[in-house]
Amino acid sequence: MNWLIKIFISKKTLRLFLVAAILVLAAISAYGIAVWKIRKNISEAADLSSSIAVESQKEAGIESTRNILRGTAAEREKIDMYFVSSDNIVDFLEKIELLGKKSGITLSFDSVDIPPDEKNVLRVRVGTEGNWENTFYFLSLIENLPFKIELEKSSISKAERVVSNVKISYWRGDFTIKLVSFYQNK
Amino acid sequence: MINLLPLQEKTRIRNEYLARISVVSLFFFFIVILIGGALLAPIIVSSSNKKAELEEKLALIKTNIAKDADRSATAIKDFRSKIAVLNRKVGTDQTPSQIFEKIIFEKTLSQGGEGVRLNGLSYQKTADRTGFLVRVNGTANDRKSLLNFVKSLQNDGGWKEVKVPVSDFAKGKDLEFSLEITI
Repeated sequence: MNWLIKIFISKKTLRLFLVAAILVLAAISAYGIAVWKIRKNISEAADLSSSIAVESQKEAGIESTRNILRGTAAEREKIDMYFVSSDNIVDFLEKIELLGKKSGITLSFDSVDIPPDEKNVLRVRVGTEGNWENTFYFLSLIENLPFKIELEKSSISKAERVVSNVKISYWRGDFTIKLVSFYQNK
Repeated sequence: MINLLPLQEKTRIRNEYLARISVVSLFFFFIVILIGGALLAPIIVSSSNKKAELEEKLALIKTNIAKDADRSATAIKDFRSKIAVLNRKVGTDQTPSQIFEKIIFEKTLSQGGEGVRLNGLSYQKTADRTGFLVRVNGTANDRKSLLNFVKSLQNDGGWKEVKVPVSDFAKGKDLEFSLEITI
């Protein structure tokens, strides 16, 4: 090394040369990294743009589904009217009571329950007393309730009661109404 | 001009000169790169910002899609299940009141039907819950009236089976009967 310095260049110049070379190498590396970073950013931005385009298409598809749902909201609301939710059980029972009053019979609820094996079913057992025509009319009204109903049991039988030593005949009704269009609110 | 310097010294000076030019050139090159790098800085910042902006936009779209898709899927599923419930066949083709009316009609039409009095009509699911059973209770003035009523029901054809216990015919008058009609 020393002989090189003696023949070619001074120690100070060599030091300056080395410093300059290191600085240039560092600058080139930094420049390279900067260029690489820009290219990476651009490439990732391009990928993101294409992903956004794909997702936007999906969003447009979902938006059209939402538009269809918005457009059919009125019809879906009409369908909802045929259903009773767990929050509206009382309203449903009051409707049945009203039918009892309308048909001129006396009515009592023997049981109201949600069967454990059928979560989306409401079972109501109703007992009635009245004359044949009114009891039969009540049965017809129950059958025509605007809900999906299955009458699991409909029984109308003759009964007698003694009031002030007078025998009074009447008809006893026993109806088990299974409300199928029922759902439990979560 | 007289050349007083030895050849070795002359070579050294020339090399020193070239080396210094190289050093200056390197420094100059360094400055050029530095300026170039400085010019790249705003591009790096803007491209990074753009990338971050796009990432944010994509995340937002994905969140919206997930939320909307979930909401729409729930609404569609709910709607379909409600339609399925409304389309589900429950009970029998005839309502209990129609069945009761039919039985009363058959009683009226049967010969000696006025001699049969109905005390109870019941319609309920069979024990195995696959079909429906109708029970008709009443009294008949005589065997003939009851037999005619049963035959009238059997001839109707709207039922799977009409059963009457033979023991119901035991008495000669005021027979209490209990019919079973399978639908």
